[in-house]
Amino acid sequence: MVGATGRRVERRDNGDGTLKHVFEQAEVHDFAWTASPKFLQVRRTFVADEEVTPEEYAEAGRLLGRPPEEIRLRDVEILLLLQPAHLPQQERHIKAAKTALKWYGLWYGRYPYDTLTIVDPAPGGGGSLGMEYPTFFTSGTVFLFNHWPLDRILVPEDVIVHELGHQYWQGMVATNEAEEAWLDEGFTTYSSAKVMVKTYGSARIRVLGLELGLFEGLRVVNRADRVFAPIRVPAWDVSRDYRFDIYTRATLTLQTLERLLGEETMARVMRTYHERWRFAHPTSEDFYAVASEVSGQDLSGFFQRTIEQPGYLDYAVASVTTTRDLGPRGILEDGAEATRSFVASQDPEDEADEDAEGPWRSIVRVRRLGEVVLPVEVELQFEGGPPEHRDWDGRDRWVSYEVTRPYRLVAAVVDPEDRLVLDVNRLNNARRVRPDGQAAAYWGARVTFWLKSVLALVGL
Amino acid sequence: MRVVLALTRLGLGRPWSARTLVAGVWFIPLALAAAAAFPLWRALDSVLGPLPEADVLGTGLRLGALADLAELRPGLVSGVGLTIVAIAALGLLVGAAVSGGVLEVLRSTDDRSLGHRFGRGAGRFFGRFVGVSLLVGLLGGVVGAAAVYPFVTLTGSYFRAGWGPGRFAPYGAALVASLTVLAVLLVLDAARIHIVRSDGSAWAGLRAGLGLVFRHPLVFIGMWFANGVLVTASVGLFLLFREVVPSGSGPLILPMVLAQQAFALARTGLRVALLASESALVDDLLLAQADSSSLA
Repeated sequence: MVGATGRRVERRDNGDGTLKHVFEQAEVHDFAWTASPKFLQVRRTFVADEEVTPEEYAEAGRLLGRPPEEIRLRDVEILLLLQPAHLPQQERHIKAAKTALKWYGLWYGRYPYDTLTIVDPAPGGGGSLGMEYPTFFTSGTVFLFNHWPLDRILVPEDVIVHELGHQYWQGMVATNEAEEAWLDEGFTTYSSAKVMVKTYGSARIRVLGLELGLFEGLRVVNRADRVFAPIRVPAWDVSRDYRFDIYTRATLTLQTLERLLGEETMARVMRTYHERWRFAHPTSEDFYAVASEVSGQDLSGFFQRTIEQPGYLDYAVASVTTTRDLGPRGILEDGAEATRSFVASQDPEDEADEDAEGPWRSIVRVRRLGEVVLPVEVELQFEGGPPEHRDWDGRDRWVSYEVTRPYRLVAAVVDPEDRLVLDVNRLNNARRVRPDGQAAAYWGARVTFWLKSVLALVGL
Repeated sequence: MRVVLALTRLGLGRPWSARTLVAGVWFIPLALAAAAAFPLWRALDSVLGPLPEADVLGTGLRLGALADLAELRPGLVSGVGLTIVAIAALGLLVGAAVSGGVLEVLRSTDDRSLGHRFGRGAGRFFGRFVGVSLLVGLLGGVVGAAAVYPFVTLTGSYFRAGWGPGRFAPYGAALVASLTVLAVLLVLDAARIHIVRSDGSAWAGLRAGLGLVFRHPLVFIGMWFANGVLVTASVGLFLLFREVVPSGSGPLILPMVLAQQAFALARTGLRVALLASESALVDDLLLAQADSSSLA
């Protein structure tokens, strides 16, 4: 069995025990081929009229602001060359490929080729797992994913959707992978994560009570103790953490941009960038220009701080206090006259008294712990009163808000809508005035149970 | 089969007639676990209490929030791990004492109080039980590693060269490892019972345990299997409860704790039942052995 980039146009028996296969494909910048007598050959067709419902066309059309007729997809022949040991995963592979063809096609533009070849590398060929070439890529699975409970781990699907994403960025847009790797791997990881969430839900792993979402997995490794080089540096700069910068941070940056611009605007940015630069080899500046143009905002500052410069993003609520406001104290000037006002010190019991009357003076301090500066919203939440919002440009290292209201402050939240996905620690983004012991009680009970179970298991 | 059922039934009657013993054996690890978990809970309370974003941890295992917590308080998460390791080590010692006490209570016929008999067994057999645990563990480790090794090699050859049947090797390795663990558990129980019965050494217990289990594997495994079915059923009930009653919010933490402890109590009762069954089986087998040798 032979698979290669493009369509087979000739298969000739040379008469000497050898065969000649000829494949052709226009508008590609690379090719690959494979041959093995062990492959199981699975042929399917992505029939656009069957795979994409009118509702899905309408949904994508609304998102992009285009009529459904303009984004119609075309049929694609899929050839899956599967290892016999992975036979139970056959339909999983096909479903992942079809769903990726659908959503990439709807979001970024129709797949322009007639064929797609997916190759499952032979045992021992682990080094070639998950590799992309035009119209051809290798998948990545092991037989352990054949059966329950490990069949709930979506690694085979993730690899297929990711590698098919490369068809759009590495293959068609074809940026310079050596000089600006983030434009390929970052865009592909961001796009494939969206397809995975759309098709399979947010959890990448769901096994025996443990859940790990796709974007959550990326955020988990985004930690302040890592090295934060600029995302846009050449791939040959070995002083950097390549995978973290190019895959993880680039994806989180694009997701942050999506949440700042809104899903619709971001979808139009990506569509315009892809269409305008398909087969045209753009650079980062070209993407920045498209993003600013389509969003109608000058995003150069955003890209400068997140892509071009080193550093991480971390906002934190440093402190929150709320105390009864007993009026002005000290020497007060009122025109030419100065008066002295003495007020008894605050009674701590007053603070704890649920019925104590206001007004209440509340102070919130927010800090920027990382080097990356992005504008952020701060929400002040009150007991019995409406929340108030403040916009902070983040330029200083900290900011303080002091308000006097008839109601107490309950909590303060920085970035309440979780837009800054790049933030390395979400836990410190909010702080409440009065602690809540529920989570600790829950974990106290669980840890006690675990410890008791360990004692019972290794003991009696 | 009839022997297995009769001994299982006999064993299942013991937890009820020895309710106080079961309650005590359930309470000892609970008290130790609670004592170890208390400072941890206090530390968690002071860290998580003021952080609303940590509230998601009140509904289960959220890796994102846990990773953020590990970053904010590096010592806290590693502290949980270290505590579990320390408790496991302590558990080996506590387990040796508790099983000595349980077997003494189950086997003794004198009129002394339960506490007296339990303490007597715990102290008298402690050293020998620790010794026989180490011996059986060591032996099991060596034999298990030797038995699993060919399967590991086969798995490697499958991944390297794609040798067909090799794909079943990981299942074989898991099966052999499980059987080794089961053999260790059965030999350890038989050895402990022999030590209590004959007041012999750890070595003698090990030899007797090996002889009994490997000469009569079916009846030992049968009894263990019957007990295992009941343990699995109680695990199933517990998981069903967890599925039906969400444990994440306020007052629902209490039912979760009660369900956890009800499950722990049931498991303790079943463990006492298994020890009672095994104890009766060892008596029967040794009696039959003595009869046959006197006839010879």
